[in-house]
Amino acid sequence: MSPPADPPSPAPMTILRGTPASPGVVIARAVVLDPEEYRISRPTIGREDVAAELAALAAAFEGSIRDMEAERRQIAEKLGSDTAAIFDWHIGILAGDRIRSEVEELIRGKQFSAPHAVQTVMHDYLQRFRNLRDSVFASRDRDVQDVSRRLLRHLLGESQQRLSDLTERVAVVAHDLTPSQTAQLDPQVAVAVATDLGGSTSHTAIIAHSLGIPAVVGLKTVSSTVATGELLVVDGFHGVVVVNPDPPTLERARTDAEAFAVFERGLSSIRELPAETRDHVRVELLANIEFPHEAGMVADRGGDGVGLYRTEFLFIGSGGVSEAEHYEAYRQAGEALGGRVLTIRSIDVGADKYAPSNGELIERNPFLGLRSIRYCLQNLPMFKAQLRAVLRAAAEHNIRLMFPLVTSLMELRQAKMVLGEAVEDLEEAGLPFRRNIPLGIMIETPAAALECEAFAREVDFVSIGTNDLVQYTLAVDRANERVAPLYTASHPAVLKLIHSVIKTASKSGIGCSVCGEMASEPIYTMLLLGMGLRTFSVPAGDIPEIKKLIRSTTIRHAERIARRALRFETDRQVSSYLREETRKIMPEVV
Amino acid sequence: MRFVELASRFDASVSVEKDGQTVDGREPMELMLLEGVCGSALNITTRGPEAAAALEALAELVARGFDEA
Repeated sequence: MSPPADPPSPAPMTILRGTPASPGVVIARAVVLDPEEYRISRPTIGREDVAAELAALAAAFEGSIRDMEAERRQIAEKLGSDTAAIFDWHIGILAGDRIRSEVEELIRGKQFSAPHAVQTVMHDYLQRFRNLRDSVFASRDRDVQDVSRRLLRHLLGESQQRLSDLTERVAVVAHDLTPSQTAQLDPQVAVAVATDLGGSTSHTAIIAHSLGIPAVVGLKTVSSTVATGELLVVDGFHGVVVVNPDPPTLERARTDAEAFAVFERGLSSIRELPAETRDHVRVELLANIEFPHEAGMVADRGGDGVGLYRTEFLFIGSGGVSEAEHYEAYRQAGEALGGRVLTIRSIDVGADKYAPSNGELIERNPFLGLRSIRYCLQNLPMFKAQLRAVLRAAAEHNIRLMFPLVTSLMELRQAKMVLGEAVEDLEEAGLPFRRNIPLGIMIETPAAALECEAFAREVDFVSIGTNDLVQYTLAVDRANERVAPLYTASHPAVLKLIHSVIKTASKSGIGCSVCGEMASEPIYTMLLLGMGLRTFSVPAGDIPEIKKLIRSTTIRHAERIARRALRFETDRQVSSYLREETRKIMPEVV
Repeated sequence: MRFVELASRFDASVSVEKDGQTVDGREPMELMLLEGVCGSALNITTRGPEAAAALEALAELVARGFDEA
């Protein structure tokens, strides 16, 4: 009783739906990345293919052993034979009978394809190692993985590649991208991203967005459905990935991709023009960045500076960041901005971000737990190191400092005291720094929003972090699929809080910006302008679009829209109204 | 691997037992999974025409500390 052989036929078109994470339409061949396993093109074969498959397996074993023996020789020459002995075990398990015969049995007995059989057997051993109690022996799982990958590489040929080996434009497909993988994406080569996991505000979405490449996340099965080399249409507007598009679909996709490219080029022509409304009110348009090199893009995109530099990205993949490393990053970013403002947000780790791990306690409710400024105030050496670096970099560059998630005056005053200590440290060390650095807080909770007037007396500016403000106000976890639809910035309560903060800041004579997603969503631009906002901070890639919107409206018109929107009772009414009004002046962004 | 290589040279089967678990001493994967940490007690059993020679050689290897640095 054997499974039926796969019928030979042209690969069928498949449409996968996920969450739009970054706009754009791109047609490209897929490269499927897997952290642990390679994608297997067919799991089973027909009975008549068994002999050929066994032959391919034999060749893969021989090739792998040959390669490993050659590597062993090279290492023995360079580093001595004791070090080279590491390979002995790798070679040994392939040269022996056990693995070979187990894999052959699956091919013969169950008609598994060679790659699938190898993967099945090796996965089993992998699990057995991982279950061992002794950690030295358990870590042999990595060796098993290495050998497994080597065999698969021989079996599957050149089609499997690593991210850093890519040279032609491809759509990167993965179960999930690690932060360091996203940091390695080169937009010249990786022209689109599609992942099984992730939401619209995930890491992958943020990076793809700032790189200006389309991305679709939350596809659930894309990495197990798509094979490397297959042609894909990645539509970041609609959150759709089409595998092996048929001719009419391909034609439509080409048109969409071309239209997007034209739109992008049109936006780039707006770079030199100021973000000014038709009734000549100048709006400050800043960028949100994660890495120093993005600061360079800000000028390219016609931005006025950086309104949010998320400094926790420095921590990704490292055991901690030194003052020198902080300083270097800020200096670089400051320099790339050439005098434009750089707003540095102090470390915002905890919850879903990446903290320097050293046996951190698992929190039941991370979003309500030790994150952000609270984490910093309980980890003073780390916090002070960052503050010293910021103060030093501010000596030569236009830098201001912002504390996230501040909910009480006490907290702000504590943070200011720590800043004062950092100042003392630097005085003692005799290093140049800026003593009176402009200081602000992020308003991300109802507490901070309602107490804005008190805060305004003790800071130079505030920035509304709408992502978290919406979350804490509506008590909804935006990453929880079961309630995610409840998350919306259009909720009347959210609008009231934002409006109140903008008005209070203005009355108190301090700066106010919005740096959450709401600032870059076109339907909210006129609403925010109408509420009195004059500084927006958005992903660099969105600057041209928001600028175009600002230039297409007047404050008078925006104020009328805001007044009307603030009177609605439901978020749905607000959203439809705003969408309609935005469509009237810029249909292509809605 | 030295153990496996040595064991494979003799015309004999080699079983290694530790804490009730027995594996084929000529199989590198199995042996590694046995978790023979320093100081653990191993029972080596050999069978076949060269059983005695095999056992002697393997015992000597173990006594020498597997020839590992």
